[in-house]
Amino acid sequence: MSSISRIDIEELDSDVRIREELGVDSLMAMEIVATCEKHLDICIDEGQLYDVETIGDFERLIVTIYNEKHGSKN
Amino acid sequence: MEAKTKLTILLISPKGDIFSRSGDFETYARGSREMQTVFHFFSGLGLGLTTIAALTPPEHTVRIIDENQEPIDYDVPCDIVGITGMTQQAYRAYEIAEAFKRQNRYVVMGGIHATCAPEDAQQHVDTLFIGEAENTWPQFIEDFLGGKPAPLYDQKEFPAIDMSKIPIPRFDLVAKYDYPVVWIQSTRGCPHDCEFCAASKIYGRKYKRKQVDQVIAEIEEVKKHWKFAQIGFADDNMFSNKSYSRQLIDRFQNMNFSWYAQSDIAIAENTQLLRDLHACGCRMLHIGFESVIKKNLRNLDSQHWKEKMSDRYPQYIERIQKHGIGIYGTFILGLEEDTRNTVDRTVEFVQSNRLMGAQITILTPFPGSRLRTRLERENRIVHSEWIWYTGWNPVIRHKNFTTAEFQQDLLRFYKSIYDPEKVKLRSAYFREIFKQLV
Repeated sequence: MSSISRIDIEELDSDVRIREELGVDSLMAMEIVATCEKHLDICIDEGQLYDVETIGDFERLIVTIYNEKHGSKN
Repeated sequence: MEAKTKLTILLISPKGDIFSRSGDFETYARGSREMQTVFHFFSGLGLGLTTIAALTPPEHTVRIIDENQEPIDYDVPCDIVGITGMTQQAYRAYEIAEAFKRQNRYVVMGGIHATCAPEDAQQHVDTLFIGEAENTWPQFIEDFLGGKPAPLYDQKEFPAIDMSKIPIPRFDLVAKYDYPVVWIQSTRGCPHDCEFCAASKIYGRKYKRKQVDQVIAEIEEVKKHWKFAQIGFADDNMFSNKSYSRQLIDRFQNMNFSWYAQSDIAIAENTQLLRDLHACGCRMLHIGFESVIKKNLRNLDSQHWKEKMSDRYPQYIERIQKHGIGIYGTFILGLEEDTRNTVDRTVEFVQSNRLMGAQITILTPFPGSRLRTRLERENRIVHSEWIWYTGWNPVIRHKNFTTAEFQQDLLRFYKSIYDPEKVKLRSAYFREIFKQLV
């Protein structure tokens, strides 16, 4: 997310709101989603993104989807 | 009484209606997530006032008010009130000017509307500025301190502006506002001189630019004040000078910021530049396609440039967007060949070319444009009250549209291109592009 939004990683606290504060628009969102899908070998349904507001929400969503597909590492 | 040597200057950007004054449109836009994104892109402040502040000698105190962000305090002590504005802000600008004049303040006005409609604007102020301000503003301050400010300062009476001498805009004075987009400028001018555009009236047709180091310093200054803001380049046509663009983009590679710009479609001819643009944070380009009907493009610019390029639009759009750069296409409704079918054809163009976003505005004869001269001659201007000059409200007579039909078609366009199913299809397209690029 830092490399795509081009904002220093130290600024990306989990409570930062992705659209309103970070300024992530639909195009940037697609780039973030596509990057996660490719790197993590997961598939994110667009509907699942609708309730994502903060970086923390997105992180939790990705962990859930990853664990569902590949199993929890914990 | 001893003459004043330190001035307090209040600079104001009046509240504007960037979008339509039509109630139906406003209701739709308020409820549309996609339209809120469009508002987001246009919510920043133009560079006029921060540049004026930077041109003011440091012994004076300058305060900037963006009325879209905070109300004006008419009782605040100040020696000069400076107002800027586009035509859609003019009515409000005049109200503000009159209110301050009633308080015996010295009121001045500049910006694109003052430049293009000087006789109109001058009635409301003590001093008017025509054209770029880098020479005229410092001269005015000197004259004001000497007790002899002139009623009019016109850039044409001064040497040409050298952009390499322009100081960094005083972004610190507007850092109090939480802008999602902060505008900066690297070049002025556009080679195309389209009939509807008044930009060449303010900048002339000569393309000029800042030094690359200046632009870098401005970006760094913006980043100092807004940690999340994107940068928008206000240049009318940012990549017209190829070697300058190359230098700029090379320097951007080592920086960390997200940005967008306005360009013409010819940027698609430089694939290396497209690769580098995406790599250095360019997310989106605003490109003026103007019309999907070729005959409309015939006399738009004197070189018929847009008409000649129009056959290549699909190929060039694909090439740009395949590099991960979204295109926000802009179109005009109300050109000569337009009919009630034009909006459907434009929606089809947006969808078949999978444009990331699009905007259609109604042909508007802004003061200073060749279009206004022509439509005046043809007796086709039905409103000259600037309050309607939003670009989203019809002010002209057209053989194929009534006023109500213009507004219906405008709304139909946005409802159609931002229909959730159509947005989903375009999103899926970009998702695949980004997967290829990762």
